[in-house]
Amino acid sequence: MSDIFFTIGNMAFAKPQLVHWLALLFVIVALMISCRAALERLSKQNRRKWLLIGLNLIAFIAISGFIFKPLWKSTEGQVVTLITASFSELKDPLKNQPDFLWYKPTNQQVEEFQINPEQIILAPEQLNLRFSKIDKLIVRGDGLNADEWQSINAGKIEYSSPQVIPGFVNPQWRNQVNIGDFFSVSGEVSFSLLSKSSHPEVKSKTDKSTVSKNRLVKSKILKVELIDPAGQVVAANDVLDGEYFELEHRPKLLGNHIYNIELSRLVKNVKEIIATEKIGVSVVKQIGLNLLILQSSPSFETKQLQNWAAENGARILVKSQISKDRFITRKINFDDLKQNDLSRELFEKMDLVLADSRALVLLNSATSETLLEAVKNGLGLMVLADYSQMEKAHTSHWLQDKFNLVNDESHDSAQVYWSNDNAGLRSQSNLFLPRVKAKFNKSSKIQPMAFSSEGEALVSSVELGKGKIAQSLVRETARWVTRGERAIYSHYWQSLIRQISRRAIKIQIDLFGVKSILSENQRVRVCINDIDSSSLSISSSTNVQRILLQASKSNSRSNCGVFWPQAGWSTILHKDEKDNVISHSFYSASTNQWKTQRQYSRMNASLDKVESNSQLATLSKPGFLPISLWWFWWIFISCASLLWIEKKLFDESS
Amino acid sequence: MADLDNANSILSDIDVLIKEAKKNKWISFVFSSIIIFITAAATSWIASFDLAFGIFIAALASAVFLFISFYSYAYRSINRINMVDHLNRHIPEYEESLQLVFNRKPTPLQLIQLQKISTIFNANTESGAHQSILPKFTIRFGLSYSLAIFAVIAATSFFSNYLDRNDNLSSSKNSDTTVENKPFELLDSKVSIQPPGYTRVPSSNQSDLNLEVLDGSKIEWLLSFSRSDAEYFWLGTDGVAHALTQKPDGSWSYAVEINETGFYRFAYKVNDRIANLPEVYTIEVVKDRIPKIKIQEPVRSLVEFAKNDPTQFTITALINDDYGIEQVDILASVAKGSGEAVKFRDKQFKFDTNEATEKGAVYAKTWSLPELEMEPGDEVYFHIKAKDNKQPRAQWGKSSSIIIRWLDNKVVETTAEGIQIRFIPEYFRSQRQIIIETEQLIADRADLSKDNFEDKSRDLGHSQSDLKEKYGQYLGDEIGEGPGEQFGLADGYHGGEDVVHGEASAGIEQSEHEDSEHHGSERENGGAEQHEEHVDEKPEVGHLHQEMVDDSDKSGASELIARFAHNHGSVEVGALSKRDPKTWMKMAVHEMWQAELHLMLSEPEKALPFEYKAYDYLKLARQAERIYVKRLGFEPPPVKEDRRLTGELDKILSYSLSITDKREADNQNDIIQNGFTSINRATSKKLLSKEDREHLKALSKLMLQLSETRPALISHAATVEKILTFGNTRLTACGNCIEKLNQKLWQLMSNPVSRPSPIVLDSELGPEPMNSYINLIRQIDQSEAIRIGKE
Repeated sequence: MSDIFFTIGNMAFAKPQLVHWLALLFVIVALMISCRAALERLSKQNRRKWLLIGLNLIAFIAISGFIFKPLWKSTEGQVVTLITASFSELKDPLKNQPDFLWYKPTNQQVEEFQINPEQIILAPEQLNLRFSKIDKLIVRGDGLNADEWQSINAGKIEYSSPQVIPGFVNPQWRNQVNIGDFFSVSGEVSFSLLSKSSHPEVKSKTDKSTVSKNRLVKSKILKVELIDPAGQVVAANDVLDGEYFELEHRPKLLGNHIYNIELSRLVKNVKEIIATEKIGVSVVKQIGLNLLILQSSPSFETKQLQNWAAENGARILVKSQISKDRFITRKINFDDLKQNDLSRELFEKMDLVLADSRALVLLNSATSETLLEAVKNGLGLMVLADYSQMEKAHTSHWLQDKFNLVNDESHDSAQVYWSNDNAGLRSQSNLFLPRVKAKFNKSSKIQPMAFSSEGEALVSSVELGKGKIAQSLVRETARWVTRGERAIYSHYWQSLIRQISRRAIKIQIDLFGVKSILSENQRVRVCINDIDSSSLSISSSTNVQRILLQASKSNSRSNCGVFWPQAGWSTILHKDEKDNVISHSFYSASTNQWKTQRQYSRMNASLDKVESNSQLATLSKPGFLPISLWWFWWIFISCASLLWIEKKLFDESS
Repeated sequence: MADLDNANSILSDIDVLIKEAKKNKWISFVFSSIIIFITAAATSWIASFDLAFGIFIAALASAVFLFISFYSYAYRSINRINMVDHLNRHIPEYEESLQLVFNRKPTPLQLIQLQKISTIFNANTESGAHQSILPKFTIRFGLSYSLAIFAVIAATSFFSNYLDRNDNLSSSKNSDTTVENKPFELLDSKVSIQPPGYTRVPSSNQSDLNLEVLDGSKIEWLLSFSRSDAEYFWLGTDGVAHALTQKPDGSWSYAVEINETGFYRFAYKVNDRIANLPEVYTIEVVKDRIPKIKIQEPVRSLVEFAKNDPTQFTITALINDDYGIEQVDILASVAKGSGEAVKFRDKQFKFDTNEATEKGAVYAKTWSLPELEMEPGDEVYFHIKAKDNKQPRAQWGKSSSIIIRWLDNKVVETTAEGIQIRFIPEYFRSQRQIIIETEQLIADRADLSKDNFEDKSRDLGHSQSDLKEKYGQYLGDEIGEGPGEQFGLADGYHGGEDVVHGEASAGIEQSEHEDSEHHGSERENGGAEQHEEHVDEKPEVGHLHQEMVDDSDKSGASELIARFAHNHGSVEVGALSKRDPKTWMKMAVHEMWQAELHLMLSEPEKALPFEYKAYDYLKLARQAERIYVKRLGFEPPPVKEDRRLTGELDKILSYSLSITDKREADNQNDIIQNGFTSINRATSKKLLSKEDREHLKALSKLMLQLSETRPALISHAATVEKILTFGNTRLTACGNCIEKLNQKLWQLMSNPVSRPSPIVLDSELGPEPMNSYINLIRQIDQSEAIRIGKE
């Protein structure tokens, strides 16, 4: 704001220049001439004479105001208006004033509103650099996100929410899945119909829910569809506005894929698409499982499991007992395994041991100790229950100690329910499978993993050190296969294996600060659990950049770095000392995508800021606001028009 | 005065002489210019210059000469003074004093001389002595100039020809080089398609090289290429090069008969090397369908006549084919006798009448049982065969079998258990097949024309309708009761894999589809609706076991216990489902109605969920009719543990076995996955690696195989070929073919089976980093507390 030169009452004037004085002189001369002419012409008509002189004086004042542009004292102190994204209607007469700023306007906005470059700020810190003290900050549009608000210091904050962009908010999905896994996307639908005339304003201390309670013209059922890369709808849900949804699908191919999630509704039986967003999913090959099967006798159940696991890349060692001290060992896809005996070295190489109860109770104590020690170090153990552990001879066995099975003759079959990763419990088969006539005695340490239709645990696990031991009462899951439900069979076992088996210790690349949406130019922290790694490379469609890593302060076994991704697919690559390449692909959304979510997060952050910022600012010095020049102009035009009309109507000589 | 008169007289005579001299000069000039003109023109003509140009040159030369001549010193110097000098020099009698005539005030001596020379001058004038010394007419300069012009033109012509010759040589060399550098391109194409004669489809011409033709069509290509200095070839799917024939006008032609869907391309041969042109074109072959026979009457597959019933019956069949039916026969087999004494006698009949309708030809025949030499107790099995007019080998269609039984006043016996007469004719689609083909149709929607799509959809609708009618007969719907135990379930279940929700991936999970279909109807009704719970077809949780209910218990507890105690008895005994097969089949038929409706409306996406449900119900019906019986007979005692594992092991050769599980390398899913990976690895800058090439070749081969039954895939096979040709994915005139190919591969891939895999930490903050983070915070807090404490 220009320096105040002169104040009179609530009005202030900036320092005038020479041209202002010259213009004033000219106007005074014109006034004098006009007044004199009026006096001469209307010497005998006092009323009209003084009327004309009055009009001349008013016109003079108007022109003077036009020349000197006076300011009016503001009782609110320094008021700054900040326009943010999604602002579309500009009615404010302050738009050309220096306290009216635009935050990252688009090119279209710059052209449409003819924004002066001096009124644009690109970072919120610039606001306080321009105005050392802001008494009142008026924010229009989406607002600012939480990080941006932290950079702003203002007294009173007034926030007006914009028209809600319909779409999806709080989306969540896993960026990377193994082939064969379910990929699930969830979120909420945001779609509110506003009447055009209402723009509810949110003052400070307003309840956050006020904004969400926009006046609904009509609420209708909306449809959320998940569309696979081939363009086909693979999952759909009918939802209401504001409702949570969850959709899932199993990607078919390895690689990087873009799914679309679409929000639509039927309007007179015609589908109207409201919003579409892209979801990037990287489907990777699963890490192979090292499986050890210990069986007291061959069974169809383990045979089916072997078939399934071997077909899908697992490496299997099967030990079948054929005498009291002899096993037949069968290696499948495991040529490089040298150990055959049940030793610590063998257990260390395995991810999961599958055994029946009888095989375990018949192990000698040394082997049992070794096995338990291995479980404590992370090995998973899955036990197919039978009645052996409940026999008198084995009631003190550690297996019975952990799971405490008791006879239960009431059930010999069950329909199995298990967790479908994100979707909660569901059973995909209506087949009743045989089960051991026993039940788990309740214990707080036992965690159920699969249930019967009555809620009884059919598979339970306990933690032992870093590993887990699970026991299954379900028998003959292979019936799913013979029934033609191979997919269900594989899903069931995969679900159990993932929960029980050893966590894969490998060099892993993790992205932090990313729940689901990764945006271009968003700060992302990447860590790799390889302390020998000093850099990573990130390749996108246009370039390759190198990120330097430093030791993480929160995890001594990781090195971390920061980068800002470009829109589209990028791949982080790491090569270890053995020249093994590990990669992690991710998709970054452009700023044009997920507008609803961006708006939602900004609106929420702004509302939070408004609520938290409740104290009024004290004025350090009076602020002055410019008076609109239109007033002066219209006053001058009015006076000049009246003068002209008077002359034309009443002057006989004209 | 008299002297002045003399002087004037002399001067006037001198002027006359001057005029005469000038006259002589310009006559010379003019004649010379004429000579120059003629010479220049003639020379130009001889030098093969353009005539007009030559005349122009000549005229220009003449004009220049004249201009120069008239402004030359020789002409301009003809004046009084020079004339007087000339006369003084050539006539000594003037004693070099003739210039006295210019003196207006001569001295007396000059006057005397003047008088003297004037007398001599007059005398010479009369004698003509002056004329003899004037410049004469001459063409000497003209000739010399002409000679010069001739020389110049001739030299110009000579050198011009020389230069031209060299230019021609070099330009001919250049043009040879340009021809060599010109790329091989197909400039123009025209394809003539002549369908087989029996189809009576007229020939057609087109310029588009991607063809859709009838099986057996003769195709002739007429092509023109950018270069004529090579041989050209036509290469089909097999890669064998067939030489094109060059015509006198420079175009190339090739003709072949096409029977298989595939793709083709052109190649050229230069320096014994054959190189392919980049574009790959597709040929989609529309096969001639086998005749379709639908027996309209009798409706049921088994017709029984009581002993005293009228023995006449009518057979009516609707037969249609793409292009024509040539022959229709009724094959009947009469069975006489019973048990081991059954004798069969085969006969063949023709229909009595046939009538053409919109839907096809309706054949009818009226029979009587005695006419078939039957007696009460005999049976006749007949079916209809129809041959179409396909050339060179006709195709036969066969109908379902109908059984006519003439009863012998005995009770209808149940058919022998275990006998299943295959009543499903060859063309009859099972429910599984309908599902598979519906999924394929949905997947191929983008590649098919609207009419084609609707035709296929309706065709599937007819198949669904036929299947529904068969089941309806079995269930004894409005058609009437009838034993149907001998009929197998045409659900297509072969005891193996389930129908995977595969290719279409419009395989929305059925639970969701139940939602959508329910809500769809609600939406059509309008208004704000709430979610409604949809009824799953899963067995209810807790169901009543009547055998467990204690009737004496009035509290209802036993009923509760019976409901929730879940005693199914022994697993080895009992039906797997509480519903009988017919109930499930009725539910299946109900779903088939809906499926048929949507298929007829060309809405296969909406039909698919109903088809799946029908299939599931049929499976349940199949399972419901199974009864697992506990093994009876000798029940060996359980093995005692101390005796267990005490067998002899001396015959065991090895206690260790190592095998490698090898899946078939040509597994379809692997081929598609490898192909997909290779395509997406091949960017516009990077060329295909050897491994990628192998994968893409396998993919191309697979797509060719699949296109035999799904011609819509051939365009994608062509895209793969183009990628192999270009070596990368930067294809010309491709549009978004790569994207479409990726989408098609996705569709072709079946749903993956879950695979065993150990747990992998999520990309979110896992528990280990989280714990470390928490520990760090604690450390910071502790150190802060210590610091504050110190302060």
